[in-house]
Amino acid sequence: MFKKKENTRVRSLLLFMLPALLFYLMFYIYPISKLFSDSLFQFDKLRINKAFVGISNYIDVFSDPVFYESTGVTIRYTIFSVLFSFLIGFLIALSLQRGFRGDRLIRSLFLTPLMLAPVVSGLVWRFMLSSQFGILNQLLYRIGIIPSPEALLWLSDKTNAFVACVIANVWASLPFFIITLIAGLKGVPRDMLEAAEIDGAGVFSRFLWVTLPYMKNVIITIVLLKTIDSIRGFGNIWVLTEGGPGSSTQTLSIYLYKNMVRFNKVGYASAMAVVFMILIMIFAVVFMRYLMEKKEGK
Amino acid sequence: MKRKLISLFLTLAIVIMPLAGCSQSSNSPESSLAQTSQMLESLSDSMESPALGGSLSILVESGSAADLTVNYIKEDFEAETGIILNIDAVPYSGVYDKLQADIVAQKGIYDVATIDVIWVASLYPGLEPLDNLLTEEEWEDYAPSLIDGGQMDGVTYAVPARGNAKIMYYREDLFNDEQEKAAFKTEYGYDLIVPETWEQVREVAKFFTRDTDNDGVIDMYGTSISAKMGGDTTHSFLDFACQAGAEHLVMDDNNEILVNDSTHVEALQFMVSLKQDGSVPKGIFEMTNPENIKMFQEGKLAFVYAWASGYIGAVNPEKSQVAGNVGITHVASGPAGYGAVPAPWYNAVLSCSKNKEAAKVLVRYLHDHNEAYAITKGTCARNSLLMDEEMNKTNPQLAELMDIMNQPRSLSRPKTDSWNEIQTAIDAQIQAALLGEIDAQMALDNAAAEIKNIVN
Repeated sequence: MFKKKENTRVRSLLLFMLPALLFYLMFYIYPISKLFSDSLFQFDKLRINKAFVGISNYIDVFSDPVFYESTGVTIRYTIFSVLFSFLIGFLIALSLQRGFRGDRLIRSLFLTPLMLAPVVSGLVWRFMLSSQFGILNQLLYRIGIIPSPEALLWLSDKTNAFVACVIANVWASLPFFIITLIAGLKGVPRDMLEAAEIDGAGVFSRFLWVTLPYMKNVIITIVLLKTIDSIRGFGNIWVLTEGGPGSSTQTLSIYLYKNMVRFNKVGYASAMAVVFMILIMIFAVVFMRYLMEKKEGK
Repeated sequence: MKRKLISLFLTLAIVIMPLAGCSQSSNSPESSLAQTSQMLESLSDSMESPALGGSLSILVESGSAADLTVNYIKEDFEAETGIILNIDAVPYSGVYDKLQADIVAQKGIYDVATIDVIWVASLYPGLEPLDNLLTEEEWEDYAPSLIDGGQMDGVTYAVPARGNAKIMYYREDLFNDEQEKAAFKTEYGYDLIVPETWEQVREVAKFFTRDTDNDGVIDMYGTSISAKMGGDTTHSFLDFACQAGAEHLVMDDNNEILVNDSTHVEALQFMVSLKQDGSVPKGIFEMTNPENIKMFQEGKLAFVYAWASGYIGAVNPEKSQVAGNVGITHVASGPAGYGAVPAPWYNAVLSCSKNKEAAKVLVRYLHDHNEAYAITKGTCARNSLLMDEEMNKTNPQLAELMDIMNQPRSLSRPKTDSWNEIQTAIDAQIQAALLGEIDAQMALDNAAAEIKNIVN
């Protein structure tokens, strides 16, 4: 009787898990398996004929200087994007959390980038940053910050193009940071803050020793998510610069796209994608393992 | 029991919903066969099969001449032939991706496609030979370079839809202005003319680069060049290589790399000299043809090399601030004469098409009505139309296009399925040279080394 009830319970559990399992198989396991399988072959340009080459594609990836160059660009892009998104997002979240007249309208305005696809936001920034047609340089010129609209070449200078891509990414990332940090701030116990205030702690001390520790897990989670998002970033950069000038903004995603779609090097691009995925997974595991607070009793 | 039924229902609903999003395009030619028109007598065998449809699917680049033209002729084509035309318009890179997927899968989703010349080398195994579609006399109505672009190993896989090449647009008001003429003659010692040589291009461009409103900011440049990654930077460079006397562009038919020979180096040095003269906008690395022509339309350039198809926009008062003052002529001559790299598009029939003969009817129709490309987007492919006096009254760019496409100095890009990769390698080195990081010879030596790895 007990065994029959247990079997029924197990069957019900499996039934409930089935949709998620199927989804996981279809949209996760299968594509990754296909990716790995493709990485072991070399294809012709039409992808009709293929030849097994084993780990040759992986050897090519690790001997490709452009792979390392793109990895370096990706790391720099991610660090700057996440750092500035976090700092600016936190400042805005702290301001909005206090509440003031019109804060709801301001909050809605800050959330507008969330409504735009990365490609669309990239296009918007491309037009704004154009040295010939862009509104930003015209504004800076008219208020006297730059001597001429062409004095600051956002997309034609290697360093400025990188900065432009970071700015566009920060702009697109801010809403996520703001929403999540506001939620995190609301989770900080008010009585702890009051107690600290009674004990003589100043604003900065309360923030450093009360607010931040309580928000630690929230901060780590959003930083991890946005780091992975920035590492994978493609739409903004592609529309703004396509990885140029030269390869100054060519992240791994851009290089991977070019190899897969433009150059039709399916096997090589698949190998690069596998390596890319493993690198992100290693980063995520290390990040979570050593920075997340361990739960008590485990 | 009730709980189990509800669980099962929810499970099925959740599983089926994503699958519902994977349905095939509505353009799939799986409708039942309709009766064919008597005008299609030549199709009798293939059209009688119940598996074929009375419809065709054509794949085109959205917003392109092909898109506009096929929509333009759709009604008449359907009325005359009885074949329903389904048009799938996608962004540029999507055309190649979809064609490739269809060729690999052999599904026959598309029957006809309008393709870029640079794709012929990689797609031709999936295309139907079309040598017999036109008569010899009809083939002769196309420039040899256009026919060559649609051929691989002597077999024709695509019929030219529209030609295109760079011509020179210039401001008639500036070049005809007496004060400008006098000032130029004083400074350079010869009459101001629309540049005909590279030296004149440099001098005239320098002359017209100026601050027109005395606010300390240059607001008009002599000319512009393309230097954006992925734009037509390499194409522009190769235009100059044609003018410098290159016998083959980038590499010859035996894959011997020639991109760093003296003619190509001279071409790149010419581009660098324009940048060093300060005669082109500082932001050239974010600019390609659309930005250049837009600058010209806004009165910010005295002259510019741009696609012949851009003429319609340049003389449209709604789009162009210089509409009434636009003159056109061929590009200036380099050391070896003038010429440009054609950038034609072609109509091709896919071998996996289930309605090949009907598809050929459509390609034939587009050949017969080639003027539709000129009407919709300013260029076409047939010499007889390019020379037509009536057409040239409102589309003078057609005669210029015909002239440049038939020049012996006009060469096509190499036929290779690695062109995109080669172009990316050259783009990067052109940018490095224009940025002043390396000289032209070193830039092209680097490009040659990369291209050698690509093709071997």
